[in-house]
Amino acid sequence: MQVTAVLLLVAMMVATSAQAIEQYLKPEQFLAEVFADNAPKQEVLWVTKDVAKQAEKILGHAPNQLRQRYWKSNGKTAWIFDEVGKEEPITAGFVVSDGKIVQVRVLTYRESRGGEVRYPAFLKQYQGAELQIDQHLNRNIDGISGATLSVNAMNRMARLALYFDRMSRVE
Amino acid sequence: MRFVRHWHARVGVMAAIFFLFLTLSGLALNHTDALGLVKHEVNNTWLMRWYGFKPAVPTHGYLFEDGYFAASGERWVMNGHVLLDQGLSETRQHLVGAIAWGDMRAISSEDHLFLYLPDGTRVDNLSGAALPNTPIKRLGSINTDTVPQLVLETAQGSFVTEDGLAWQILKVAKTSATAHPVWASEQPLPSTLSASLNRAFGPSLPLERIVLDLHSGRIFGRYGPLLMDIAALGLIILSLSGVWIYLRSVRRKPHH
Repeated sequence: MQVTAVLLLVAMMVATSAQAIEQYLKPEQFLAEVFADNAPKQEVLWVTKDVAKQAEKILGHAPNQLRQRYWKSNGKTAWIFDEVGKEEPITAGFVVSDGKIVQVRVLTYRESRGGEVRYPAFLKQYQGAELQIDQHLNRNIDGISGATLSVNAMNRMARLALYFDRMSRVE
Repeated sequence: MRFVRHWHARVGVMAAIFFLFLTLSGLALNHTDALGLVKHEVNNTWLMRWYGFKPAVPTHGYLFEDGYFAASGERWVMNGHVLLDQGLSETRQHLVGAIAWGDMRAISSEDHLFLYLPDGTRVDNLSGAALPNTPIKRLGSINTDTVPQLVLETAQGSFVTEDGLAWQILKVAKTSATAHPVWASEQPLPSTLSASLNRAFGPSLPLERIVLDLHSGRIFGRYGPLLMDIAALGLIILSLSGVWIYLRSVRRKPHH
């Protein structure tokens, strides 16, 4: 844990320039990375009333839209969400396999502070995380001071990805 | 001593009002997230006039059989509902048009296509690889008796979709008149909508801004902060005179 903290501290010092809208990865680049340049056709999960109800429990607000597109190949699903940290949404991609998170990337970060959530040192904590019956992650994600709301948003999206992945397999 | 006591009480009563005001607004600001002050928009007409804001109501928009879509700056309104789209302001630039597509309403900017239900619920937001090509130049629909189709015109040609997922190049059959797309076009908004438009496009401010301006005194205009400075000075005088009175009374006690 201490190594993580030191890495984060170094990363924060390197990232001196505060940015407004910063796109680190285009959705296409994220998908190319996940599916090794062999991105499958997009699929659709309809957010029905029951699904929306659970999603609202996870997010603390109604889901953004009725139709959630995702990508699926070899049992792996990829999801891209927008979720507000403090005032502006964070766009992040999540890959789920076997009910576990295998990869997380921040695609676009729009707030002036808290962008440290994009660093691998932070994101690798999600690897292997599963959804418990109470719709929470089965592990603690260490926060980043000054970026609490961004971390919370990342946690909510991680939970939603796991829940949506489960729902996409029910159908 | 009497003089100090006398003025301590006077300044105290005056300062108490400001003190309450400052502490209450300060408390609220300390918990803006928990209280949701950022999310709560205030649109009180009197207050907005006090701030000098005027409603920016558009005169033109897009009309559907059962409603309308109009935009002003970054505010998008459909049938009186402000379309919230999680504050993605960069997606709202360069509005191309809005059109009815079956029971959905499609709205597009140059790089984004939004699908909504007439009640303002968002169905989808397409961009990048989910679109056949960008920038979008025109938005249209083909509402024949079969499946309604949505058409996007781009520099690389026109593309058509039945579900917003799979796109094909539009082939217009010359023989059939019905297959031609109807393109979204901006029209003057009828005066019957003005009440709905005024409500939806009226100026508003997040509650946080108003509490912040109350706290700093800026809401009272140019000299507001000065007023708050005087109040702060009053509090300093109170603290000092209070300590002085206390010390005097403590020292006197043994004599009485």
